[in-house]
Amino acid sequence: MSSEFSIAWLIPLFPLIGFLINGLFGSKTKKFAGILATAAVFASFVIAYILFTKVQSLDEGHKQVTVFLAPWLSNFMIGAADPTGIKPLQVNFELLIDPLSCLMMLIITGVGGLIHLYSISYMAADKGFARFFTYLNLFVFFMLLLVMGNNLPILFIGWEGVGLCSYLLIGFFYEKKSAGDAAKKAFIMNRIGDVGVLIGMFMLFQYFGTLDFYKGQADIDGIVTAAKNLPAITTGTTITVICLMLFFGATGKSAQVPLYTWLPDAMEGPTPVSALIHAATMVTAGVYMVSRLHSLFELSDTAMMVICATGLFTALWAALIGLAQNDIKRVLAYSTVSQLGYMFAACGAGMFAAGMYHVMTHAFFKACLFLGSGSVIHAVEHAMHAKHAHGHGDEADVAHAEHGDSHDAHAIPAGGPDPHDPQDMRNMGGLGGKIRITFLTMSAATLAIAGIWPFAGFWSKDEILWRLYNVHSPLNVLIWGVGAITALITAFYMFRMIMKTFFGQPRTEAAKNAHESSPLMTGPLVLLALLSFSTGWLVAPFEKFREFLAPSVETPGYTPTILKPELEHTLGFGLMAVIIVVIVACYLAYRSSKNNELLAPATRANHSVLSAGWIYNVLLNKYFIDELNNLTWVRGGKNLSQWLWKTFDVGVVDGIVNGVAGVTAWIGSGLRKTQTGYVRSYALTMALGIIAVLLLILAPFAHGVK
Amino acid sequence: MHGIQPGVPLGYYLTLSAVLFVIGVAGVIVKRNPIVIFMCVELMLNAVNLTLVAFSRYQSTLTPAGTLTSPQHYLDGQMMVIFVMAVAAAEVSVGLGILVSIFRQRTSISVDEIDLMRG
Repeated sequence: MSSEFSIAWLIPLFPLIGFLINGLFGSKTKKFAGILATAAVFASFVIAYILFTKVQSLDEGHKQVTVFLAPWLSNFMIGAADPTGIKPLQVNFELLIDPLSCLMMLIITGVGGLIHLYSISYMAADKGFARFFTYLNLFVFFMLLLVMGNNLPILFIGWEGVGLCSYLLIGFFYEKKSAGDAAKKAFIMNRIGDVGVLIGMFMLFQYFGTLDFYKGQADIDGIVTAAKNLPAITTGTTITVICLMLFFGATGKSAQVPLYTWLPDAMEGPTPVSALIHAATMVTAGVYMVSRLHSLFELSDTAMMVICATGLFTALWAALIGLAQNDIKRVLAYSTVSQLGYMFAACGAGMFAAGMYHVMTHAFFKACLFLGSGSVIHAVEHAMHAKHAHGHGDEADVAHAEHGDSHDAHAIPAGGPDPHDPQDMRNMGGLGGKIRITFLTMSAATLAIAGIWPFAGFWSKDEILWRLYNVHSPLNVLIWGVGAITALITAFYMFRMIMKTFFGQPRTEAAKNAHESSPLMTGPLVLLALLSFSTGWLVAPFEKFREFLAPSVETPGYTPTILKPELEHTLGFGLMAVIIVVIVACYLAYRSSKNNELLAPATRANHSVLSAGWIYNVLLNKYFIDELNNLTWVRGGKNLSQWLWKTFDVGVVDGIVNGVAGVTAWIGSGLRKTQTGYVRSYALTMALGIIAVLLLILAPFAHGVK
Repeated sequence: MHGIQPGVPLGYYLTLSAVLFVIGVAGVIVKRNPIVIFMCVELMLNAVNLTLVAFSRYQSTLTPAGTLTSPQHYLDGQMMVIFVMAVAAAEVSVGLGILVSIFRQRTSISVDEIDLMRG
């Protein structure tokens, strides 16, 4: 049976080939690089779709197929009784094809392919065109490895690899210091999380004796299967610690509290990067890992509670920050963090299928939003440069660099916008009439994220909130309440973004002269908007989705929630009604006065309700978390480094080395004094030495005088 | 000891050798004149010769039956003495050659004056 799935290795292969060709011959492929990279990803999509149809036709109970590629690590005591206590380890290059990995593969290659297509037009003016596609393909390769591996080391290869590509892509405009800083920040925070994953891996191996997910070449029951068979009584703190460690890694990768601050700064990278990595794929790796190891997490109630609480907290925390941001990409970044919080909340509440459903719908509408924002930025930027630039052709690449609020060290003052920043929403306005397609697609995606029926976000968010309401806990209404309030805030800030960007009167010259983008950019936007609209009722309704995914993420006998069906629709539509009220209020507020009097700085300063109070300041500065992190961790780390250098390395280590040399010299100068040059003293020394040696040799033979 | 012994006990010869040897050692260490040092070295070598010959004469009567056999079988000590004498002669000739070449350069003949290897 696995022979017909053996084409699975082609899926990561195509992007890898694209990476190699563009990487090695990028200077020759030039404009062709984009087409090559896109073709590679779409080819992988085709094969992923074939595997998807095959998996659907497999019978129940045998939905996991492993494809063995090559052996990797093994110590040679397999099968032998081992007195030293070291368990036999066998880790192979093995792929796992099952519903969950098929879902992720389709998302990665599908949405990824659309983003590649979009990038051909978006990055056309940049001199690093081939380099961009090299990195994008490498990213897709690593991400596919992550979701296709049958064991944790392969997942970890992908995990680290996407962290690396994230660094390369965020720091793509490497001439800008802020981009380099953001890239470093992302990579380092990811790596801090990776410590958790590694420790989790070590402990998992110690506990289960294997690192495989399902039984593959190694012929030992995989972790997921073994955890399903463990009765809950036998588990204790070990499993909880393992789960918490793995979740810590997931917080780093998926930008939850406390390791989320890299994601907004990651907006320094080009917009397609933000769409691919920070909306659709890399940040969902944490959710994927938690879903993959669902049976392990289900064993530990504490860990599930921590995951759920962290997810909800992050959702609310980030939503509040998103309220005050002025940069269009930052609003979306905080929105991503917030939606990821929802996914983890769902997983923590025991409904992994709901979490994965939100992953899918989020990929669609968030990618659409990011690509749309890219289109908006493109439009405004070109209008800005058409005004100033007269024939500076090579300015295009630096001009293309994304401006961001690059401030780790200083707080952002609540003042006016930088007039040359194409990303600041205060420089936009009234674009709805000028960039119609972008406007319509972004509006569709915004309706989706706000959770309006029948858009995709309604189905997934509603499902999550419904499950949260039904959690076995006395606090279930509070848990649901936090989720609901976050949904309201989400709706508000997303519509604020839409209003500021597309409605009202243009606030700058650039906004007046904006024009629509090329079809290569609008095409993916339209497709993603259609998916955001139709998922949930036309495409993949939740019940069918759950049925499809059940063999991967559900454990028979584990029912975390009680379903009260009569309340389900009431809650869902009730919440939606409140959201619609919020949206309408938002709309009316923005349209209530001519020329947007409310938004003019002079009026705002005088208006007590709208002026920048301390709450606004705190939210705008992201609760000053970055400054706090800087003070504690960064300064602490630097001080530790300094101490280790001065006191330990120079003082102790060099001291020991120099000390050894010094002692040697001292002994030498002492011994020098025996060289008198005086022959008779040499003779005496020789004689004494001979006597001593003779005594030593003859001592055993002394028997006393007879 | 078994068999026919000469009248003088072996120990007396060994004692004499030891005394001669110690006198030789003392002379090498104490004396400043290189010629005298050479003579003392010769004295040491001859003391050892005496020891070897004494043992060769006195250890010559051991058979399982305890009967006396011809002393020719146990001439090892005497053979070694011949070698030692030859070595002593060679050594003295080399040593006196060195001595002559050193003392062509200087006026004094005291060993104490050769301290160029002083550290």
